Amino acid sequence: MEDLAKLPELEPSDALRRRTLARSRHRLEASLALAHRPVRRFLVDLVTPALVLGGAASYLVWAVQCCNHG
Amino acid sequence: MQFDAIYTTYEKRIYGFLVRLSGRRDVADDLFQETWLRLARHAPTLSEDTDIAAWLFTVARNLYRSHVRWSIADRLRRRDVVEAVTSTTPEIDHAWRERWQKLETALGELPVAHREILLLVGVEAMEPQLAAQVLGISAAAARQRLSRARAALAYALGEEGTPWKI
Repeated sequence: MEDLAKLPELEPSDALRRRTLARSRHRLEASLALAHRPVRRFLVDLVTPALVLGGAASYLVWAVQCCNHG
Repeated sequence: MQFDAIYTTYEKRIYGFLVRLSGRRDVADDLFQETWLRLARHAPTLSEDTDIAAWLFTVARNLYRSHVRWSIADRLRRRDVVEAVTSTTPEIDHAWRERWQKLETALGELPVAHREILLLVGVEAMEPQLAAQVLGISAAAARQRLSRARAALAYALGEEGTPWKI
């Protein structure tokens, strides 16, 4: 493994580094805020998927009805 | 801030891993950014004893796997890692540059399964057991894969039968 270990380090461009850090810090703040709001977290974790599934089910019912009518 | 300390520690390692895994700077740039966004999103739920290195490499590797699954065009495009690397480091000596280019090219031509374990164990000096965790396979399977990957790399370098130095 000697030669593989000697391969040079690669680093992101300054622009990529700045962009990544800025977006990550913003996301981290949002995640921390969410983690400290249990009710809101409950809503996001459980209710949102339920709404999505409910929406999908309604769409399926509508599609089946459309097929039946012609 | 702890996040910044983790970023500083692993920035180059994760970026190098992604560039060499994908062979493409543009792809690596996107996946690199997404890896850190994932850490930011999951940071509040990570426990104190989480192995951050293993976590980050697992996310980076899974993002690449997912990218490959959805992007057929990328698989057909030329790898640009060797050119990108060598053009940014003019000060190295000629012999090593040649060896290094050969190594990068050979690495890039290996199947992804071989390339990723060589990058983790060979380049990142990760213990095979930890690499197994990143790859989601057993330690025994990782050792076997590593052995095959080493043989494949030696073959690609035309060094089959020579003492292992890779």
